[in-house]
Amino acid sequence: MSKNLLKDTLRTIRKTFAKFVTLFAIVALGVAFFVGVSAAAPIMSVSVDKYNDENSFMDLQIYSTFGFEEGDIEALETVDGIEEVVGTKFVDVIGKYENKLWVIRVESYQPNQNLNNFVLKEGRMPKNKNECLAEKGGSLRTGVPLGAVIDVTRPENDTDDYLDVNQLTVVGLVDTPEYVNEEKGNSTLSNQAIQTFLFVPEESFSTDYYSSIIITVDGAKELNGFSQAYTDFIDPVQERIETLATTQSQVRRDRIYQEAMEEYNDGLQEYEDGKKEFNDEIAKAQREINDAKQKLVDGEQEIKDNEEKLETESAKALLDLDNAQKDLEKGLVEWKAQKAKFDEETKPALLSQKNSILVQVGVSSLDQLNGLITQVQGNVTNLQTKINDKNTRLQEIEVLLNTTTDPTEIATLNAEKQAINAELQTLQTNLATATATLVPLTQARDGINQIDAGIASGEAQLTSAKQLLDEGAGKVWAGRLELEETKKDALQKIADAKVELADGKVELADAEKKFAEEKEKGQKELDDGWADLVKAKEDISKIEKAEWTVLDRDMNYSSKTFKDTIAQMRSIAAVFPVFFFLVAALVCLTTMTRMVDEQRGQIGVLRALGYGKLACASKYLIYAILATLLGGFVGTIFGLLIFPGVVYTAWGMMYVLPPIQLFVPWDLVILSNGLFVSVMALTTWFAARQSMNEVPSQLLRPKSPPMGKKIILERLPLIWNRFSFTSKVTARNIIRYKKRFLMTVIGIAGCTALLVAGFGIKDSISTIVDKQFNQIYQYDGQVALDDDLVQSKINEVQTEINNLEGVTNSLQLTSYQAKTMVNNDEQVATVYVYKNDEELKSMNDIRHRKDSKEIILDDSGVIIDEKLAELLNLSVGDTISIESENEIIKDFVVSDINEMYVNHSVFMTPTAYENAFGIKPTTNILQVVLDYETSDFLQKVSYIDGVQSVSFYGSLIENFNNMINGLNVVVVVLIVCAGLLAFVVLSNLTNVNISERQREIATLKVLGFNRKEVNMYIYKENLILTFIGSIFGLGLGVVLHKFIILMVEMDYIMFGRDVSVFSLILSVLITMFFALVVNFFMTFKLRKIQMVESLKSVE
Amino acid sequence: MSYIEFKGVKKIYHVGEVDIEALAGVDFSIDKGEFVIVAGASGAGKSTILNILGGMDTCSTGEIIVDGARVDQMNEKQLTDYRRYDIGFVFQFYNLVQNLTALENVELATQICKNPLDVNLTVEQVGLQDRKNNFPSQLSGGEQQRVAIARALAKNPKLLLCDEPTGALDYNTGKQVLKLLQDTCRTQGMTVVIITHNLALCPMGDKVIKVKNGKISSITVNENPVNVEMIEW
Repeated sequence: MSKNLLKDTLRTIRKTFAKFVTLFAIVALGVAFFVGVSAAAPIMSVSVDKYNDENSFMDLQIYSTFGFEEGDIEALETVDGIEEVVGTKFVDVIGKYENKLWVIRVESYQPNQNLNNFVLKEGRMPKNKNECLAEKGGSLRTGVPLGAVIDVTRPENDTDDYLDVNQLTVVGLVDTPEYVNEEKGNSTLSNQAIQTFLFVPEESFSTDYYSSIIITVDGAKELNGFSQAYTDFIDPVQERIETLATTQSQVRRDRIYQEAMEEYNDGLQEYEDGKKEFNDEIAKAQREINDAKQKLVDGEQEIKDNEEKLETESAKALLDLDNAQKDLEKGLVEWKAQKAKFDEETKPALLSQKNSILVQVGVSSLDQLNGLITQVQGNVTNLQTKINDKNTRLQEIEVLLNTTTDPTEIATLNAEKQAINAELQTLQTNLATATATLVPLTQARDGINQIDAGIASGEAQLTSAKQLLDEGAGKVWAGRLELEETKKDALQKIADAKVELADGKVELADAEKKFAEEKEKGQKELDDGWADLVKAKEDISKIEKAEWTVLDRDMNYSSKTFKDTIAQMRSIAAVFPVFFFLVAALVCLTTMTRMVDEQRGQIGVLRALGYGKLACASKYLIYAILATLLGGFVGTIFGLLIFPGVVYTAWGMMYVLPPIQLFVPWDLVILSNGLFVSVMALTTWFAARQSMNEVPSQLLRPKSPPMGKKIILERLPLIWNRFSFTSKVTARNIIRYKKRFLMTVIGIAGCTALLVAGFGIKDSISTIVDKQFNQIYQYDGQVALDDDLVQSKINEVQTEINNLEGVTNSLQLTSYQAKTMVNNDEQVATVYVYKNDEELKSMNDIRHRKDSKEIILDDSGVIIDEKLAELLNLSVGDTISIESENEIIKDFVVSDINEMYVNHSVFMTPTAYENAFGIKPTTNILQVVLDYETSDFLQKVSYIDGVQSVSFYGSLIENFNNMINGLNVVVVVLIVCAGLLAFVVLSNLTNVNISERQREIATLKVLGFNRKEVNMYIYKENLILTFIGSIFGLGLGVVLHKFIILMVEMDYIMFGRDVSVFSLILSVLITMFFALVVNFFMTFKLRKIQMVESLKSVE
Repeated sequence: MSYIEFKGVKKIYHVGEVDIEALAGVDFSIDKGEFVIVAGASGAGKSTILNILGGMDTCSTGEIIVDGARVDQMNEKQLTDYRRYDIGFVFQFYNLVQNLTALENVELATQICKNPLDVNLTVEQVGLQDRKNNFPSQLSGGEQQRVAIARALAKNPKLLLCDEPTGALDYNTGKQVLKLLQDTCRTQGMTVVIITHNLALCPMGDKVIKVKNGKISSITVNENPVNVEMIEW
C-alpha cells in the first residue's frame, strides 16, 4: 500500500472519528462481553481448582458397609497411581448451641494429614478431644461461632457409640474445599440437610474403625478438576480401587468375623463362668439357708432350756428369800421385846439415877451443872491467873528489889510485895475453896455422863439392832425386787429370743423365697445369655463381605454443584456474547457499507490512478480492522477486569469461594479478537466488494438510486390518500430502502431483545420469592416433631404452639425427603402427606401455572411440581417411583402438576401412601401459619417438649433474597450493557442514515423545508423503524429470556417463566428513549448539513 | 499503425430492462504526441470514449489499440496496470483526495508508477510550489485543477486524458490550464486528449474529433494548431 494511501487512511480515521469510535465501542463492548463472560467460567473453574489443589482436595472417597481399618489403608497405599490415603471418621449429630439446633456433620482430621486440608481463618487448632473447628462460612450463612460450646446428641441416643465426648468447644474457624457450597447435601439423620460441619481431632471419636477413606491421585493436580480430562484420568485409579475392594473387603470381612468370633468365644466363656458361678452361688446359698435353718432349730432349743433354767432358779431364789424373811420376822419380834424392856425398865431407872445426882448437887439439868462447873472452873482459873499474876509481879518486884536502890521505890516495892503476899493468901484460900467445890460437881457430872452414856449405848444398841433388822428386811426386799427384775429380764430375753426366732423364721422364709426367685432369675439370665450366644453365632455365620463404594468428586455435593454452576456460566457465556457479536458485526457492516458508498468517488479516483482493488479496499479494511483491534484490546482488558469478578462475586454469595484467580485465558482472547477481526474484515470486504466490481468511471459517477416504485400501501387509496406528504415519503422510503430498513430493525430488535432478556431475568428471579413464599406457601414455617411421639403428645405440642403469640393456625401432617425416580433419573423431593384436599389447600395455594383449572388432591395419584416433571420428563398419567419414610420404593401415578418454584414437592393422601407402602405414614411435622413473628418465637417453639427442629421461612426468604441479589448484580450488568449497546447501535445507524441522505436533506433545505420539517423527515422514519424493531425485539427477547432462564436454573429451583408486562413495556420505552436521545443529538448534525456543499455534484 | 486506434467501438449500458447505446460504433486514430480535442454536445458520448480509452470502462464491442496493446482484451488486472503506468487522467471536478495535501496528492499517483517524474518539480511546473502543502479545501478551483494535472503529469504516462478540465474554472484560469496542457504536449511530446464542449478551443488541437449521438461525426486535422493564448472566447 502506498505511503500516501496510508496517510489518507489515517486522516480519514481522524476526520470521521465519531464513526471510528462507534465501531471501536461496539467491538469493545462485544469483546468485553464475549471475553469477560466466557472467561468467567474458566476463571471460576481455575480459582476453585487452584484452591482444591492447594488444599489437596480429595479425588476419591470410599465408603464401606463395614467401615475401614488400618489394613485397608495400607492396602490402598499400594494401588498404582494413588498419592495419599487417609482414613476419616465422621458422624452426623444434632448440635445444640444457644437453644438452636443444628444438623452437624462431625468429621475427624489428623494433624499431619496431607489431604482435604482446611484453611484456618480464625482462632487456633484444637489441643484436645473436647475442642473442635467450625465453619467460617460465607455471606449467606455462617457456621457455629467461635467460642461456642455445643452439646451433641443423636436422635437414637447412640452418640457414645461414635463420639467420646458430649460437648465440643469451638476454638477455630476454617474453610474447607470439601464444602464450597453453602448447601452441604443430606445427612444420615432421616434425610435432613447438613447445616454445618465441625472438625475434631481423631481422639474425639470412640469408634475404632474409619468411616471413610479419602484419596488423592498422583498427578491429578496437574489437571483441572472440573474437566473431562481429569475425570478420564481418575477413572482407571477408581477401577483399580474397585478391584482391590473385592479382596480387601474379604479381608475386612474376615477380620470382623474373627473379632466377632473372639467376642463370641469370650461371651461363651463368660457364660460358662457365669454358669459355674451361678451354680456355686446356688450351692452356697443353699448351704447358708440350711445353716440358718439349723441355727433356728438350735435357737429354739436354747430358748426352751433358758426357760427351764429360769423356772428352777427363780423358784430357788424365791425360797431363799422367803426363809430370810422368816428369820427377819423372828428377829424383829425379839428386838421389840428388848426395846420394850429397855424403854420400860432400864432407861427410866437410869434416868431417875441421873435425876438424883442432879438434885444432889442442886441443879435441874445437866446444862445447868455444866454451867456451874464452868463457872467454878472459871473462878479457879481466874484465881490461878491472879495468883500467877501476883507471883509474876512478885518476881518482878524481887528483881526490882535486887536492882533498884531507891528506898522509896524499895519501900513501895516491899509494900507492894506485902500486899501481894496478902492477896496471894486470900487467893490461895479462895482457890482451895473453889477447887473443893468443884470436885463434887465434876463427880456428879461424870456420873450423869455415865448414865447418859449408858442410856445412849443402850439405845444405840437397840438402834443398831433395828438397823440390822431393817437392813435385812431391805435386803430381802431388794432381793425380791432383784428377783423380779431378773425374772423380768430373763423373760424379756426369752421373749426377745422368741421374737427373734420368729423373725428369723420369717427371714428364712423370705430368704428361701428370694433364693427361689433369684435362682429362677439367674437361670433365666443364663438361658437368655445362651439364646443370645446362639443367635450371635448365627449372625456371625451370616456376616457378608463388606461392600465398598468408590466415589469421585462428582458425588461430593459441593464439588458437583459448583461444577454445574461452571457449566451454567459456560452456557450463558455461549449464548449472550454471541448476541453482542452479531450486533457488532451488523453495525460494522452498515457503517462500512455506508462509508464505501460515500467515498465511491474517491475510490474511483484511486482506481483511475491505477490502484488495484485490494489497495483501494485496504483503506477500509485498515479502518475497520484498526477499530476492531483497538476495541478488542480495550474490550478484553475491561471485560476481564469486570465480568469475571462480578460473576464470581455474585456466585460467591452462594458458595464459600477462595479468592479469585484472575488469569488471561489467552485462547479465549485470541479466539474472540480473531473472530471479531475476521468478521469485521469480512463484512468490510463484503461492503467494499461491490464497489470494487464497478469500473472506475462508474465509481466516479454517483450511485444511481434504486428506482422508485409504487408501494403496497399505495394500492389502498383509502389509507394512502389520507397520508400527509411527509408521511407518504416516509412510507416510500421505508419500503424502498429495504437494506436500511432491515439493518435498523434488526439492530433495534437485538437491543430491545437484550433489554427484555435482562429485565426478564430480573423478573423471573425476583418473583419466585413472592410467588413461592407468599402465594403458594400459605404457611410460614414448619415444626419437626421428635420421633415416635404418641398422638396425644402431638396434640399437646400443637396446642402449645397454637397458644403462642402470633400463631393463627397449624396443621399436623407427614413430610419427609424422598428420592423420586423415573428409570435412571433421580431427584430428591419433599413428600407431603395431607389428610385430604381441604387440608392441603388450607396450607398451600396449589395451582397450574399456565391455566386456572383447579387441582384436586385425591387418593388416585400424586401431585408433583412442574420442575420435577420437567427434569424427569413426566406428564399427567405417567408413573413415578417414590421412596417411603423407610426408603421403600413404590410406583405412583402422576395425577397433576402444580406450580412450584423452590424445591421439589410431592403431595399425596395417607390412603395413597398406605396403599402403596402397606403402612400408615407417621405424623412428624406441623405446618404453622403466623400473623406476625415475635422476636423470640423460634426460641419458644424449639423449647417445647416434643419439638425436634424448627424452620420458618423468614430466614429462608432472606437467604433467597441474598442469592437473588447476587444474581441481580449480574442482571443489572446485562441491562447496562444492553442499554449501551442500544445507544451505540442507534447512534451509529442514525448517523449513517443521515450521511447517506445528505444530498436529499440538502435539497429539502433548498426547497425551503424548515428545520422542524427536516428533522421530522428523518425522525419519523427513525421512530417508526425503531418502534417496529422493538416490537420484534420483544418477541426475540422473550425467546432469549426463556432460553437463558432454562440455562441458569438449578435443579431445585424453577424461576418465573414469564417476563412481566411492565418489563416489556419498559424495554420498549428505554429503546425509544435512546432513540429520542440519539435523534436529539442528530439535530445538530442535520443542522450542519450545508446545502451547497452537499449538493455539489460530480456529474 | 497509429499510436491509438479505436475500431468499431460500441458501448451499451444495460439499465434494468433498458439498453442505452452510449457509443454506436466509434472509429478514430490518434498519433503519438498529438494534442487532440474531442468535442460534442452534452451526452454525446465524449466522456464514454475517454473513459474507455483511459481503461476506466470497458467497451461492449470493438477494438482499442494503444501503443500496440489491445486494451479491449485486457482483463481487470491488466487494465489496472494500464491505468497505473500508461494513463494520466484529469477530471472536470479535480477529484483530489481531500485528506492529502497538494504534494501528497501528486505523490499518491507517483508512488505506484514505474518511472515517475520528480514530484516537487512537477508541482513547480504547475506553479504551485508555494501551495504544495495545502489541502484541496484550501486551494482555489484553478489551483486544484493544476494539482490534478500535476498528478497526472507526474505519472509520466503515455497518454494524458482530460475530461473537460476547464469546466469548473473561470476563463483566465481555464486558459492557463489549457496552456499548461498544450506546453506539456509540445515540450514533452505527450499525447494529450481533451474533452470539451467549447468549440472555440478546437483550433488548439492537432486533431479535432467531433462526437454526435455516440458516433464520430467528424475528424479534423489542424495543420497549424493555435496557441491557446491566442484564442479568445
